Amino acid sequence: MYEMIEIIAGLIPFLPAFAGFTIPVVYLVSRKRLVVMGYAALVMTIVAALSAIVAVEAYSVDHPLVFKAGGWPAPVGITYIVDRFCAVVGLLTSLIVLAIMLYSLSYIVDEAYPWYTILLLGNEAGLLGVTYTGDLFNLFVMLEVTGVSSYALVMYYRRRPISLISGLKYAFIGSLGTSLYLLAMGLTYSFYGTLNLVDFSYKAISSSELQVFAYGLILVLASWTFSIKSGVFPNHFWLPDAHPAAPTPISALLSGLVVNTGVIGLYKFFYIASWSTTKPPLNTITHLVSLVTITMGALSGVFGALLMNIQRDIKRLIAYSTVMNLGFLFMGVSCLTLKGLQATLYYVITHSLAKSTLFLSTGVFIKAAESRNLSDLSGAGMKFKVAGVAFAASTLTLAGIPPLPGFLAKLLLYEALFEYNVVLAVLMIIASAIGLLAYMKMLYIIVFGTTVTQLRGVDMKLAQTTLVVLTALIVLVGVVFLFNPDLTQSIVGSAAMQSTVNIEEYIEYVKNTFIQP
Amino acid sequence: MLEEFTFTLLISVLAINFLISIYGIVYRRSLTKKLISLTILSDTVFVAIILAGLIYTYPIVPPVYSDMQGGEAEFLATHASDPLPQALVLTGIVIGLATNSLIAFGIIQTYRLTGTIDARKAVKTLLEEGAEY
Repeated sequence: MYEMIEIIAGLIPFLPAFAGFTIPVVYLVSRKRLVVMGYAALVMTIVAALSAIVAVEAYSVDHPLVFKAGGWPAPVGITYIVDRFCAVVGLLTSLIVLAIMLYSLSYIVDEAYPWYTILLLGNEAGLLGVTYTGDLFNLFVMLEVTGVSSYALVMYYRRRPISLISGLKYAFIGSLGTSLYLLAMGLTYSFYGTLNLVDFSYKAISSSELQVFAYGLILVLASWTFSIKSGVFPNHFWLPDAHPAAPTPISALLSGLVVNTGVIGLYKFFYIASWSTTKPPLNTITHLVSLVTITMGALSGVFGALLMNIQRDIKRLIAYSTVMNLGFLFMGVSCLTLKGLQATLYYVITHSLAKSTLFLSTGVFIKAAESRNLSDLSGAGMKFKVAGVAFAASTLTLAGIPPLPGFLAKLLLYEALFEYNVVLAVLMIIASAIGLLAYMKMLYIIVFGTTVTQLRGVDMKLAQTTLVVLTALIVLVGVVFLFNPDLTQSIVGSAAMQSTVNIEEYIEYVKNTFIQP
Repeated sequence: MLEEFTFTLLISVLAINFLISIYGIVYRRSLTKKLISLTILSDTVFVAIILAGLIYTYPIVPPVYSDMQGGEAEFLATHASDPLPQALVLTGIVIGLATNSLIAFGIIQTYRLTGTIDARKAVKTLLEEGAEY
């Protein structure tokens, strides 16, 4: 039984990639938009179902699931390690990508749809690969798969010079980041002789002095890459250009899911690879690097919140809110504590759901008003009731209003940061308060403002159904978790527990599946 | 002595290349020069990884499994370069091909649409013409 489930876990990232390669055949046979995109949606449904099975299995056993690709013995071959954190994030990713695909069915109506579908499937493969992989070099490959498809999707409107130039900016910075990560992999292999995550962490405990230095260099290079991928403060400059330039479903994908890759990468490095952070010789160097990332996160939060308030373009405003929220996520993941990881997991769930819904509902308004200017969209929320409700729910979630899930996420993060350092907790509250102003301004203009421009009627039934489902999901997550502390503990808490307190059993279990020399 | 000198020279050349290419990606205005800097950066990283698996002996044999009898495994271990970094570099080159060709397409298309490969100038003229960023 366990072997079967592990094969499924390894299969999940490859199903969308395989489907992506078969899209041209489907297109040549059918030449119908609904058939091609429906096929992709079907594959994504299967992937979502499989990742749900994997998530349930990860919670029913108390050790991570280990899949060895091609039957090659670990640590020689590529392993996929699915712990509870990764299982939850993988389920979330596959669900949101499915929602985005269904939305695209009524949004992307031009003739380039086969390319769009291929790239979206490729992006899903990369995202799930980043989440599930337990091999550091495979993480690099999956980062590039995610990256290349994202660059191409940002450049999707290839007749618009602005989106081309924004995509190029993103591509240059993203490739710079992955090259740095590749350098880190070279260092890992030359100093530790392994590329497997768990094997690396096992060898890292008994580091010599030179190896500790190399370890610090690896962590610095890797967190540099992840800060670029997540768009955190000094490396955020590509994000507010690239996210608005893409088609709206892709903005939702980039802002909700692709930026998560950096957080997942940091989780793998800070919690699994540096599991011995309480003991010498690695504790000093890990805490030093995490201090840098936590400061970057705090600056990113304040900076993003301030810049949100001066934007007039609605998609740019939401993109700056991504900079702010990713700053918070970096703060949470750099705490290196149980509470920090717990807050990170809950915040990832909340932020991904709310940010995708926000972008998707904004897409309806933009299509109606044919403008992205905030003042042109005034009053659109009242005209399109479904999108208006989804917009209000996701904005209030991001602003942190109870009983929506954003409140609990911010509360957990505040507790974790308060334990780490009071100054950072206060900075986080200040940034949230500044962000709240911008969110409320946006909400007021869109929902209660007077209509100034002629709004066209849009017929996007499937998109609106998707929005209803996503809104229901947000409210459900908020209400269920806020009023059931036991459930929060058993889902979010136990996932964090597995990777912090019980990490020795985790490492030991994975280590036992390796071949013994 | 000579080995040490070569090694130090190589490392310093790599470090200089690294800094120059990052400068090129961040500060050059021309998109083509940015692409060239990007390829320089990835090649620098590839050479650095190849260095990790290098062996300083003579004769160097290819790391190919053959008959493993009569102490050949030992001979192979001491006289063959580590093939894994080469595999990593191969993967990196293949992925770099995809990224670089995508970027090259973007540059050509930008040139076709705006008549310039200076991104900042292009954006400035487009904004003056009233395009939405």
